[in-house]
Amino acid sequence: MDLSSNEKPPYSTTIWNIRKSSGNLLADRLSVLPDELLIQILSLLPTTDAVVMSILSRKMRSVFPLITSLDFDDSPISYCLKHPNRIDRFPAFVSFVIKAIHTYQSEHLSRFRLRIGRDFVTRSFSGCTIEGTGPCDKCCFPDLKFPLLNILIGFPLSHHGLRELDLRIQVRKPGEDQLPSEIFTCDTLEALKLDVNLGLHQVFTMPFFHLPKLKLFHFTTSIVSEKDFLNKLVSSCPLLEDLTVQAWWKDFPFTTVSSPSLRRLCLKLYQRLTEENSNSLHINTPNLKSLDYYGNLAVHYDIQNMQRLVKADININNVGYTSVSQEVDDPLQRTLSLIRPLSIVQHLSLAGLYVQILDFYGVKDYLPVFRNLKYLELGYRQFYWDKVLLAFLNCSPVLETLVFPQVSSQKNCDKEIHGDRTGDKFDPVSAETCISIGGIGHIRIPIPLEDLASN
Amino acid sequence: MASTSTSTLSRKLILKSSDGEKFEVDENVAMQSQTIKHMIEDLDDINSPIPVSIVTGTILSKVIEYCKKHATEDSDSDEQLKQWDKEYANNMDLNTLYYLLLAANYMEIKGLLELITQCVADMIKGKSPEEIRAHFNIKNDFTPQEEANIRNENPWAFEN
Repeated sequence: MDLSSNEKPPYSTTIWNIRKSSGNLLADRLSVLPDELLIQILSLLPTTDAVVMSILSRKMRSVFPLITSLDFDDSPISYCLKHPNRIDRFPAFVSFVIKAIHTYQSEHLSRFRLRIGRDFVTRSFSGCTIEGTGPCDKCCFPDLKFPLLNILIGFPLSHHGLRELDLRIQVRKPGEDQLPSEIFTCDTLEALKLDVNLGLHQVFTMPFFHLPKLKLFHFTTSIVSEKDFLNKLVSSCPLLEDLTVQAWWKDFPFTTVSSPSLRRLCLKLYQRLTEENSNSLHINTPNLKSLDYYGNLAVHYDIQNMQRLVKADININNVGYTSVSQEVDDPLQRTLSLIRPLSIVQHLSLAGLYVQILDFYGVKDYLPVFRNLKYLELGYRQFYWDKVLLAFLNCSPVLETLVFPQVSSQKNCDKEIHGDRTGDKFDPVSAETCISIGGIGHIRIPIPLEDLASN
Repeated sequence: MASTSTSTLSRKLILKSSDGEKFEVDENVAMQSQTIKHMIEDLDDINSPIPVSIVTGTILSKVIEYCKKHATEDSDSDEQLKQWDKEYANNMDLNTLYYLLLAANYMEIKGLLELITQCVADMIKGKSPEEIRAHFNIKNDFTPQEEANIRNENPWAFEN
C-alpha cells in the first residue's frame, strides 16, 4: 500500500467507538475501522472473498467498490472434458468477473490478477493426462472469446497506479489473438507475471519496452521466437531484481542476460534437440544471489561476475548435438564452463540427465574449490555419484550437508537417514571419511520404501 | 543527553502514550514511524517527551517491540524476520490486533500496518459468510430480501 499518497482519515470518531465498546470482547472490530483500513484489508483478499465480505453489512458493501486490488481465479473448475468437474460453472465465473469490474469505482487499481485455465507446468508435463493416452488436446481449455478477454486485460491498464499484474490465461482457441502490447509500456508496473497462450508476436516485435519500475518479471510461455527478446527486456528494466523465464526456447545462437540490478534469475529453457544446436548462453549479473538454470547443455557458456552468488540450482537436461565445428570443446568442458564460475556459492544443486558427465575418476583436477559451499545436492536418476563424490568433498572445505535427492529411485520418499549410513550402494564414502575431509554433519539420502523393507 | 553532535544511533527519544506512560527508545527505532519522524523534524527540543496521543501504553509497548526488531534487521535473515513477524502477529488477540492496526496507521509504520492487515485478511480468506460473521461478530443490517438479492447476483462467490 502506498500510504504516503493517502489522506489521513479522521481517527477520533473511530477510536471513540472502539473505546466505547472495548469492554465487550465480542464487539465488531472490523466494521468500526476507518474505511481506508477496511479497504486495505479487503484489497488483500481474493475478490471472491471480498464479495463474500460485502454481504455481511452495509458498511462492508459500501467499501467494496473502492478496493485497490482485483484477484480472480477460476481454479475450482477443471477444464478437462474427459474428466468434467464443474466446467458448467465457467460462465458463472465470467459473469462474476464482469460484474466486479462494472462495480469497481476506484480510479486507482494497484493489483490485478486473472487466472483462467491451468498453469504451464501442469499443462505441459502432467496436467490433464489420461493414463495411457497422453495429454488431452486443447479442447479442455476454457472457451473465452477474445473481445471479452481483451476487455478484461485492458481493464487494469486503463487505471492509474497499476503495480502488479498477474495474468494466467489459457483459452481454447487463441487463434491469431494477441496479448495486448500495452502491458510492456506500463510505467507504473513493479511486478509482472505472465503465463498465457495468446499470441506474443505483437509483443516480440515492439521496438522497445518501457518498464522503468519493474522489479519482478515471471514469464511463462509456450514458445519464445524472438532471439533478442530477453536482452531487450532486461535492458529496458533498470530496476529488475527477479527474473523467471520458463518457455520452449528456439535454437537461438545467443541468449544474453546482462543486468546490474538482478538478484534472482531462473531460466528454464525447454529445447528440442536439433542437429543445428549452436546456442550460447551469456550471463553477466554482478549482484545475482540466486541462479536456477534448466536447459540443454549449451555449446558455449560465458558466465561472468558471480561474486555475490549464494545459491545455484543447475539442471542440465540434455547434451544437445554439436555439429558447429571441431573447435567447440567437449561436453565435459562445456559443463565445467557452466559450473566453475559458480564456485562462490554456499548452496549448490546439480541434477539432470547430463551432469553425470562429471562422474569419472580424476574429475577433481577439473573442479574449482568451492570455498563457501555448505550445502551440496547431487541428483540424477538411475546413476550414482560414486566417482565424483570424493572430488566434491575434497573441493568443499566447509561442506556441512550432502543430499542425494533422487538416488536410484523412481519413487522418492521422505525417509531421511542421518549420519553414518555406510557400506551399501547409496553411500560409497564412509562417514569417517566425510568427517575427516569436510566435517560433514548431515548426509541425507531418501531411500525408496521397498529398499528399506528389503534391508 | 549528550551534545547533539553525537551520532544519530546513540540518541534517545521519549515517547509518551495517551495514558501517560513513557518509553525511552533509540532514535532509529522511533524513526520507523513516519509520524514521529515528521514530529521530530519540527521539534526544537528532542529531549521532551513526544506525545503519541491516540495509542495506549499497552499498545505502544507492542509497537516498540516491533520497531526494535526491525531496527536491527541486519542481524537476522529475511526469513527469520518473517518468522518473527508471524509469531508476533499470531500472539495477538483480536482486540490487540485492532488497536495495533490503528496505531500502525496513525504512526505510519508501513511494515507493521502490512503485517496486521495481512493477518486480518488471512483470518477472512476462504471462509463462508457465516464463519466470518461469527469470527468478527459482524452485525447483519441487511433485510433477508436484500441479503438474498446480493447472493443471487453473485452465484460464483456464494455457491462454490
